[in-house]
Amino acid sequence: MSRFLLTLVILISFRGSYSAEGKGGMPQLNPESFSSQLFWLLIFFTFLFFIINSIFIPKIKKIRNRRDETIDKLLSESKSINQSMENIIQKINNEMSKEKENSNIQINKAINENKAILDKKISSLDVEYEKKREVVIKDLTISKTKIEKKIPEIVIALSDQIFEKILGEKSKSSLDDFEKFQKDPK
Amino acid sequence: MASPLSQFEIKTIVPIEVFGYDISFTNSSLAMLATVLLIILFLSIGLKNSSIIPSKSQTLVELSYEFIAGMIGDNIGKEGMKYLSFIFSLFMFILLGNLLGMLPYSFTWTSHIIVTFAISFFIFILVTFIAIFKHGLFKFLGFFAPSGVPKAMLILLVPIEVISYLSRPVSLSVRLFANMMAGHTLLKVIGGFVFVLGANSFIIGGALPVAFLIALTGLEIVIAFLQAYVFAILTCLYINDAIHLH
Amino acid sequence: MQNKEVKLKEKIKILEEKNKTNKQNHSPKNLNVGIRISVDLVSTIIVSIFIGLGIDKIFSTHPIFFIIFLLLGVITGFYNIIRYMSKLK
Repeated sequence: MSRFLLTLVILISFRGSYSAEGKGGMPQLNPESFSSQLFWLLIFFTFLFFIINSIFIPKIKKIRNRRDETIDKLLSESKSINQSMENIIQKINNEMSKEKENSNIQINKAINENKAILDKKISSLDVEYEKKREVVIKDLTISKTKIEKKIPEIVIALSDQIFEKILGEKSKSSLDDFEKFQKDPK
Repeated sequence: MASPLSQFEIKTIVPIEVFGYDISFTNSSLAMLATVLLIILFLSIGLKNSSIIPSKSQTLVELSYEFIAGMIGDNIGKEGMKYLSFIFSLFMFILLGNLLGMLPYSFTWTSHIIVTFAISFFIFILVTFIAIFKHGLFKFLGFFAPSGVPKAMLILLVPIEVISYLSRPVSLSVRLFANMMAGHTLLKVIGGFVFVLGANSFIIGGALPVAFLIALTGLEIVIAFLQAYVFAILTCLYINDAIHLH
Repeated sequence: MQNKEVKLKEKIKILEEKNKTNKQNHSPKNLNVGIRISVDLVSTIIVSIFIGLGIDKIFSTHPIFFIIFLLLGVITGFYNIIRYMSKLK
């Protein structure tokens, strides 16, 4: 509003100095020019309106529609691609989990089988070990009894030899003597 | 030194007279022709190689289109899209006319009340016809009698509404005309000050009005945009009133 | 990849909200009301004066309708300003 007031003041102050020239008023209010201005306004604006209405606006609308269509198309395409991608990922995940389970089962199976074989071997080894031990123990007892049987004979021979050395005469003791000696040590 | 109003004088270039009416081609007509040609140039450069991915000039054209379309969408709604090309050409015409007037030695045809009044009077007639065709004469007349008001008040309210309605084209045209004329007169006056002050104070005194002049030119360019915008948006509002008749 | 998607979605959300607030802030309707007021007062008075003078000329009752319509024009101008102001809220 202050712009208008300022202009008004200026106009009023200037009017005095220019009214002497005979054309101090506003040229806008001079009706002589109205008809020509209205005529050319009508011509030019009508021309402009028709050219914009018939050429430019349809062109702009067409290009915008085409862009919207393209954007929609690309959007739906990318959506479908995204969907298929998700499907593929889902598939891969499914297969992976399946494979995992499968391999787990396989591993468990193998472990169990190996365990069985091991157990079998261990038990068979145990059995063999027992057998061998028994044989060894038998042998030991046999040789022990043999040695036990031989001990008196060796003792007699030994004592005979000692006797011979001491007395210088040969003596021949028998097992009966040894038994006698055992019963009565005098 | 010429009067600050002499820039608004109409000078005949090609005198033409038809049936006693003077329709000479004047500097105002030349400015209008330049405006129309500039708009067509602007639009055809922008849309020359139009593609889905717009070039810089095409972006500018589409921006202006979108501006008007958004304005219509905000103020009228979907039914208003019929008037898009009218409002678009109106906006471009006034905007380019205002901006062209900012060039030195050019002519601002929007600073002539008869032109702005003719445009706004045409809009007024258009809006009235839209209202009558859309709602019928009776309902249109009912627009001047607001509902929910005691009958005694109608004696006062009906003239008020009628005067408001009739003052629309006047306010629309006066707003544009007054703004353009005030701005250009002010520029001219300040320009005169540059000369006077500079001559009286060894050129140094002219610096202040020059600075003011530069600022004012910027302001005038903003006002050129603003007034074209206001003209277009008020047209939208009037058409909205006609279509919806609240 | 999923991280990227989440980020993108967040970005879209932020931008959408920005857009919304922008639209609310720059609603052109408030500006219009302000612009309309300035000249409307003058133009209503001018129009009503012209109507008054016209009626006076037809019925040759010179000052009566001129004064009535001048008053009516002033009332209309202020009524419109009040109406716009109440719409502004």
